[in-house]
Amino acid sequence: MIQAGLNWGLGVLRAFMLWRNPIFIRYCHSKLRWKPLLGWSLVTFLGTGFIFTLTYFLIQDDMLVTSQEAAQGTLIPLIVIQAIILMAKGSFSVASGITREGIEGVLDYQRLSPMPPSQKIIGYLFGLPVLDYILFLLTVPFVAFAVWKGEVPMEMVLRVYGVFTTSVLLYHMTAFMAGMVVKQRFLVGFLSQLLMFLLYFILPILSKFGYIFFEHFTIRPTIFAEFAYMYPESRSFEIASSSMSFFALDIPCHIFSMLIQLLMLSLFTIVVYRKWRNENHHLLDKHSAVLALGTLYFALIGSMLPQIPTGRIFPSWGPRYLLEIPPVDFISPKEALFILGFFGVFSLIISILTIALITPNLDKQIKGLRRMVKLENDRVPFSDDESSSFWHSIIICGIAFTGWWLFVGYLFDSNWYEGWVLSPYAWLWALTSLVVPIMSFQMYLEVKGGHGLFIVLLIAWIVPLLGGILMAAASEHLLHAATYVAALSGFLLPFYSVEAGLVQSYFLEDMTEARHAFFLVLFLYATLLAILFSEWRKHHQRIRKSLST
Amino acid sequence: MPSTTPSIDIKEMRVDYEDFTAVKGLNLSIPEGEVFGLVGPNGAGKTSTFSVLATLLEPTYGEVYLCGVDIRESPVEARKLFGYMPDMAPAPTDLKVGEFLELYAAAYGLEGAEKRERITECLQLVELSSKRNVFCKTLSRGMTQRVVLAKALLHRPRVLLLDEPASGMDPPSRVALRKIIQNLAKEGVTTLISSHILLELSGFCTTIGIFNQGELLDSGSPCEIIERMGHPEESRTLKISLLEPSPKLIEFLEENPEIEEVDEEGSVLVCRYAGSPEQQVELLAEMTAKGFPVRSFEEYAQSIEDIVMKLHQEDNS
Repeated sequence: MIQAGLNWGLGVLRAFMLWRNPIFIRYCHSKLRWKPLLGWSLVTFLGTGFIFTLTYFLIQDDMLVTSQEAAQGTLIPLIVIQAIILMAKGSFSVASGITREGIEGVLDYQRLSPMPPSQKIIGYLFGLPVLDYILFLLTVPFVAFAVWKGEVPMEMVLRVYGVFTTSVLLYHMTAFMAGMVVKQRFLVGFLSQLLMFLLYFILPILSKFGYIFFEHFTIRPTIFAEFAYMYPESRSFEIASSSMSFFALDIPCHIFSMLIQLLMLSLFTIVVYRKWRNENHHLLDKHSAVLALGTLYFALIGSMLPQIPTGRIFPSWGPRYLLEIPPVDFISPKEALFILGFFGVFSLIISILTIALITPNLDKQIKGLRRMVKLENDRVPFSDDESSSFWHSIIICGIAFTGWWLFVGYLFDSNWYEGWVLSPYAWLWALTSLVVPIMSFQMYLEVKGGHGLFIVLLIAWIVPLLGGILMAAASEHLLHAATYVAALSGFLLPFYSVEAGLVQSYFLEDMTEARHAFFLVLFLYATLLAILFSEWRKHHQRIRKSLST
Repeated sequence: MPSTTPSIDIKEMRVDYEDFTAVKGLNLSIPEGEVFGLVGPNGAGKTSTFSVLATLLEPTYGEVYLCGVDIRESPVEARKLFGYMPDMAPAPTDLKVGEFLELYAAAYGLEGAEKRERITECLQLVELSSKRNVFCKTLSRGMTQRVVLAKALLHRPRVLLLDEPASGMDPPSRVALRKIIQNLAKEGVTTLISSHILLELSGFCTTIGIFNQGELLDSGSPCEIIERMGHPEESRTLKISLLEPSPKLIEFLEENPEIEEVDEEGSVLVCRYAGSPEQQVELLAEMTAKGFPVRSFEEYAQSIEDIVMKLHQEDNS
């Protein structure tokens, strides 16, 4: 046991010895040929030098500040340049490089070489963007000058670049993962940029609804927190906090960011490791997927609950704070209702995505059953990719509901929801609003497979949603009908369930229609679920029967 | 002293792609130093078998051992034992030949002088020493195949898995490949090879396996296979070359009860003959005695290619 642990430790250590890593050396050969290296170096050095010098003199002339303050002012443009080099260009290099190897067929040679997977992953992770690391190094003298001239505290530089490093690794690993999963080279470059855009710009928008966790995928919170003292007049910098509340703990902002990013990095490493061992494996095994979902909820709830008393979970909090409108202790009922339902919709989407990762297609189901028959087992092992995702989906529903209801409970205990009361059955409606669509999705996916699923979701869940919105916008007379049409969308069931569960609020009378719509649609979905369950059972019996004949 | 453990040992291996079964319960045992040729029509399951052996594809079930190492339990150990050359083997376009070989030599744990020597040795073996500093992307298809073969030989593997290694190679390269494999076999290296150039395989393989629709139909020496699968006892093809056209000879042949069919192909008559070897001797003597202008008389020998063609036709029908 100790020996195995030591061997593992040595293996990981050896993986990080880049100068002895064949894959890293291979990319040093191919990426650092002198002509492209010289060209890129010149462009980077001249570009960075120009922007740095321009910013330095412009700040001094226009803002009439000292050279020390001007040097401090060049740091953010320099970090942006470095981010473009390493995060944008570097991620593209990783994604397109790994896909090119896959398309050319030489990736299989690496699969077959007897190096440990950790050594291969490290080799690619640092080798593919090696040119981008060199270009980054060329910008470092400018940063060093700004730090020296601006008398910027070294601890602050370390904090910022600590988060910068984990961010870069996270983005590169994201691109690596995209490259291992997607086969088309053009698509993978596009997908890696899309994923980066999602991580950097789309998901952080959720922080406006209290999902501050997602903002920490970026270096923004750390930049705002660390640079706040340089921009005392900026409201955005002022509201940035140097620490992050997590349950009852106060964690320094940069530490929290690094932890979140390392968590994501570990998750993506598991995906890449699995794909490296066998490209036909699911992205995550069933247990890891459930564990990852549980961890996500833990991090979400831990970072959201402390925001409730401050009101920061409400979308109106940000603009109010930025415009320096005095804080109030009242929130609009519609906003309050939105926040309740939004977590449910978020839970529904994240659960469906997790289930899509772990549900076996027909090929895997047949393989699993054949193996089971051959080995004379009673059933396919619970954790195998080939086994049904039914029971794991039930657990996922449980996690999603627990997270949502915990959040709802804390909200109803806060001042914001004074005068709001839930019925004793509200939890049951919330639970069914998650379980019914999630399990319908799981069974459909397992029986029919992924082909055409997008169209089905579009027609069954998106069209009613859009139709309801259009009808409501078109005429007030259609409002009642719009309530029923929109309810048909599985995505909106959590919203409707909250409305059905309220027995006291500021606009209770308006919700009778929504309540009726919820129970009607719930009945329809429950019927559908019963049909799908029957189909699901028949499907499994059919496969077993076909194998025995 | 050859090892008693088979170099390749496959037990009950099955490979499925959804409803399609590529390999059905394959059992195969190949001893050390053997050159085993796997032949069969397209879609027979050859490449799936190679992919499983090369640890690139997980079988539905079954056990696969290379030199006694279970490839599913210990894939990293197994990878040290074999060298693999896939069909249409690629080489990275952004590396020079020397850099490509250095990468894999290092990946197999070779260092310093030993690494340099092995690379030089392997390049000499495939006759590409002059191409060491040339980009792989500038090489012809055949040269690329040879570079990949050099890569597969770097770590002195005990088993060679060659899937269509001769595709794209010119005749001299094919001869060189054959020599390399034969020399390696003398050193105890076991080779599993598939090729669509079947005559070539039957020339140097010690054993041939006939694969069709995911099943190994037969295996043995090329002669044994032809004997078993070619059905020589049913009817044979006789080729009679003439000095000049002879309608009388055709008449004579058509009257013979053992001859089923006579086709005239220019100055050659092709007959389906069902008689015994003794009757065949008598037929030749009679033709000569009657003064027919016979230049040559031969029995057309069936080849492995005929057997595969027959399987292919059966599949299509």
